This record gives sequence, structure tokens and C-alpha cells, in this order.
Amino acid sequence: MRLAGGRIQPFTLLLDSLDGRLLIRCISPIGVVDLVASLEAIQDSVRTKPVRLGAIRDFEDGSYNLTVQEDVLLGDRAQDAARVNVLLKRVAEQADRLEQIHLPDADRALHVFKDDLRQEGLGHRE
Amino acid sequence: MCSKMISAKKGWATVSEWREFCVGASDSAADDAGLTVQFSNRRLQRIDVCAGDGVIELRSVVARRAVAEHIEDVVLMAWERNRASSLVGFRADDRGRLVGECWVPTAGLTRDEFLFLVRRAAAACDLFEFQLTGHDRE
Repeated sequence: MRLAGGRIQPFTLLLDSLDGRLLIRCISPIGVVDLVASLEAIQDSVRTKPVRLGAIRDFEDGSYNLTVQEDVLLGDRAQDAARVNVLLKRVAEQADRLEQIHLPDADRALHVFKDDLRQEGLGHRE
Repeated sequence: MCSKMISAKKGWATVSEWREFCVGASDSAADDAGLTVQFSNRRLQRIDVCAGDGVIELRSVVARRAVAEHIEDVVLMAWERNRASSLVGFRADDRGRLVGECWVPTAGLTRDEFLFLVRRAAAACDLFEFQLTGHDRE
């Protein structure tokens, strides 16, 4: 997703269901962060905003161990596109904001994360 | 008459609208700031409702600061949990509390969806509270 200011933020969308209801999940990677050393800094960056961070604690290799990920219910088809747009904007903006804070050296493109994003939803990156 | 859906044209919800959604819900009691959900095992969970800017946000306390700060790696546990959680995310807020949150755009939001999210948020937060503390304080 291209954001205001020209930065880009990769993401993946997954279709899921919960109790018979459809939902769309958006996962946007921040990158590889030292979760222990940066714990306080990461906490500070999400204290005042309702952001859902996803952390992979037993991280051995890969392109990211920290994500922003949210999901939204799908319901009335006439509203689904608008709901997904809100979801995308919300996730991508927060992931980019956090990337700028914790990994300010680069604005990472999709190819960096592509292989790992493809594994989302398959149980390989829990 | 209770409105079953928030107008897509309008796109935002007032307190009276989401409170109307709670009318007739046997497992919850609403006030102006939120509602309390009661489970079949008599455990309770308070959900705060914040409506504005085109979305409704639901927030519930999993553990207060005095409790959360004594649980080792509680924040990392929350972020790890978020990887597998549906609709509800956990974090430490600016008051040091461990909270669970979910949100939904208000345009076209139905009573059925709202109550589903409330119950989902309440159940997820109550479960996490129980797993962390063994108690039902929130």
C-alpha cells in the first residue's frame, strides 16, 4: 500500500471465519526487532493508540518478528469494501509508523517479506 | 422501535444507537459508557464502548496495572497471543493496564454484529484474565 508521503507498506489479507461469520485479517510486517532490548520502546509506541501488535517470540530466522495485524467482520456485502478499506488503512499506517520508529533505516518493500507473508495463515509462523 | 442497523449514509454511531442495540440482550447490562457481560458461569466482564470517527471501539481490562506489572513477560505474552487471536487484540495501555480491544466501522453495523463483537471481546478478555490471574476482577 502506498501511503501519504510516498512510503510503502506491504501487507497480506487472509479470509477467515469465526462462529459462522466471515472476517478479513490484514497482517503488515514491521520487520525484525530485538523484542527484549526494545521492549520498552515498543510499548511506548503503542501505549496511547489501540494497535494490535503481533510478536513471534521464538524467532530463529525470517524477514519479520513483529507485525501489526487486525481483522474486521464481513457482513452486508454493500459495506464489505468500505470495511476492508478501513482495515487496510488502519493496519498499514500503524505498521509504517512503527517501522519508522523502530527500524528507521529503510522503507522495506514487499519482496523482503513476500515468502514469509505467504506462510501466514498456514500455521508456519505462529 | 429499536433500529437494527446504523445507517451507511450516516456512518457514525451515537451513544443512543449502540445502547439501542443492547435492548433485549439478556446477557448484558448497558450504561452510557459501556456494558457488563455476564457469562453462564456467572463470571462478569466490563466492556467500555467508544463511538466516533466512523468506528466503534470496544475495550476491556484484562489485568490492572498492580496485577499486570507482576506477571513476567505479560506484554510479550499479549503480543504473541495477538498472532492467533481473532477480532480482539491485547496491549498495555497508557495506564499500565493490560487491555483487550476490538473495533468495527459503524456504517451498516447491525445489532447482531455489535452484540457478537461485544460477546467476543468479553469472552476473549475474560479467558485471558483467568489464564493470567485465576480471578474474575474485571
